[in-house]
Amino acid sequence: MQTNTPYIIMALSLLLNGSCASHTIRASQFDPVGNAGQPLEHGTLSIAGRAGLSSDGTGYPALECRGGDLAEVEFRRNVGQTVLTLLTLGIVSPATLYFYCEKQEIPPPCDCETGDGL
Amino acid sequence: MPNDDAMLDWIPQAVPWKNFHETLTAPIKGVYNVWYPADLPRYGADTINRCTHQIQRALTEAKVSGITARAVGRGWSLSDVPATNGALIDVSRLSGMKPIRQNQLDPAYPGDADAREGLWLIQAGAYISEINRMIESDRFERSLPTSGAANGQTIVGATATGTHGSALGVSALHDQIVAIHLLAGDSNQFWLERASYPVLKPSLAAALGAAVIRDDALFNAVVVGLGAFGIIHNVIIETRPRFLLESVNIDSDGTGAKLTLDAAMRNVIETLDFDGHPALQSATGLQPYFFQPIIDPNSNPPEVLVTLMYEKPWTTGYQPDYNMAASKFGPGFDFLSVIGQLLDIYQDGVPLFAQIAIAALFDTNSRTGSWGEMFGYKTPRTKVASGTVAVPLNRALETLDQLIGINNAIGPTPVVFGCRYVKKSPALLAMNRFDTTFVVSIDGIFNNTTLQFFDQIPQKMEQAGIPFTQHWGKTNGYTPARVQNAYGADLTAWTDARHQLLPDPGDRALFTNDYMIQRGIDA
Repeated sequence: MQTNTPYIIMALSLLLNGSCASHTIRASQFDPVGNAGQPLEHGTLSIAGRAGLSSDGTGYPALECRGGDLAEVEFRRNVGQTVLTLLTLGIVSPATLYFYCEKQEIPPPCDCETGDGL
Repeated sequence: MPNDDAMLDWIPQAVPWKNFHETLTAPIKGVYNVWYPADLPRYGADTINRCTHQIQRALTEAKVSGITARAVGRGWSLSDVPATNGALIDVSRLSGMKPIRQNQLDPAYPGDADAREGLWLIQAGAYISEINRMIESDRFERSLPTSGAANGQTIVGATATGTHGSALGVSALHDQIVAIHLLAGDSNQFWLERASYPVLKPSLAAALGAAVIRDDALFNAVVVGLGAFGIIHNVIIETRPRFLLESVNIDSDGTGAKLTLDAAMRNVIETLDFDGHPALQSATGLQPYFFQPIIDPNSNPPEVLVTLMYEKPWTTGYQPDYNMAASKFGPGFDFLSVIGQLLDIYQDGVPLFAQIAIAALFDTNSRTGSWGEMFGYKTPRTKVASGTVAVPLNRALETLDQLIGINNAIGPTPVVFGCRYVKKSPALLAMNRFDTTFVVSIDGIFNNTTLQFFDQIPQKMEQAGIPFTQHWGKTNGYTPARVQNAYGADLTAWTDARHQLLPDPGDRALFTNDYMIQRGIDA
């Protein structure tokens, strides 16, 4: 029993810390837009890493942004996803992407002196 | 007429909606996202009409479905003021902005020559960050006179809930609005101005198909309308010539001793007489444009960190840098949530944590920048606690003593008190309703102790007989009785205005949420 303790601690640590891992990248000037303030969400599955298969092929096109840029992307894996990754020795690796689109660039406000309908 | 159906999409929501700061949830049915036209027309009456049509479509669908609807932008509020059990209508993609031309102005517009140069028509979803970047550019050379501490809110989300700053002698952000385009239900639209402050000739309202109403009481009701009057689609704001701020953060006196809430500091806080404090008086004799003392109630005596900002003329060639600071090792999104739970268990750790946090966050180097740079991007999407209490300036010190007393009674609470000053507003439900309103922003970590602290604020204020208001968009302890006590006849006028602009009970019900019901403002 005692000999299992280090392994149990290692497994718990992996679960707790692995499942809380979060990686974020964002534009330095960002005007993010999501869904009523919430980030947009996309579940993704990788099998055998870059050498294998992915539920998104070579990448997920953020169609939610309607052709616009991404403002922020966070990669996260929850407890369930971490368990599955551990049980499959990393071969099956699900995760969730949380992202915001960058706001659409709206045309500049002028020709201000001649007006445009106002 | 282009086919604009794609400008509106509906995303059903199976899990509760979370606000941006993830401090509250609401069981919404879904979100209508309203998109700016894909052909990217210039922002003007035609574009506004196309967007208006889509918002009205969403409102019609909500009515037909028998659900409530509320507009939302970034979901920045920390209270559940934007929440609903029905549909959220996300207008944050509607970011049109343009300056008003001189020939559009009503000859009776009371603004001076400079004000006439600085009126901007802005669509509801424009973020404060976008407005800053646009108006501070070399092309327009304007600045916001004030804003909140961060730049992530939409203009209407911020103003409809009463966001303020701490610019001395300046009122809140909502007080910069001088005209409102209101969609009162799915068919009626109004162009609202104060009778005492006419702004535009009727041509714009006519182009929008909006009925012009010039009425002080109605305008003053809608401008801090809490989403209860419908959806504000566009506003006109007054700006000022652009300027720079030199910001100085002070945490100690000339001898290196920490600033504390001693007699001299109390005098400054209550009188704004900076010459009375040796560490705060200006060498040049200038009065600050912005003043914010931050009090740590968990130190003994309470330590004070002071931010002073002095107005400076814009320097030719100055180019603001709006980028976020480079990343460094620091807390992640959920760090404060975890720390909050730990500090609930180990409350004695609060003072030490406060000292560490203050040392990490408070930079005593001076810096110069534009308004948009100074009040820029803050750490996003993290679970923060924020509540306020606002009182007349002559009750400031009593209020601080009450707050320190609460902290002493319930034990160390992971918050600091940011003191801010706001000029009186004519808006009926404005938090800044005292001649000079002294606002204590209680900011910190969201945990049970902090919530207990917030709960006790109204009780203590009532026991002390201090008149007070609270920020609608932050954690507040408003009950029907407290709202009535705070606003009295102005609340009645606000409700009357709602009945006048939304005469159909069905339309009033459409925009009513639990937040309003719980505070007795749903009549």
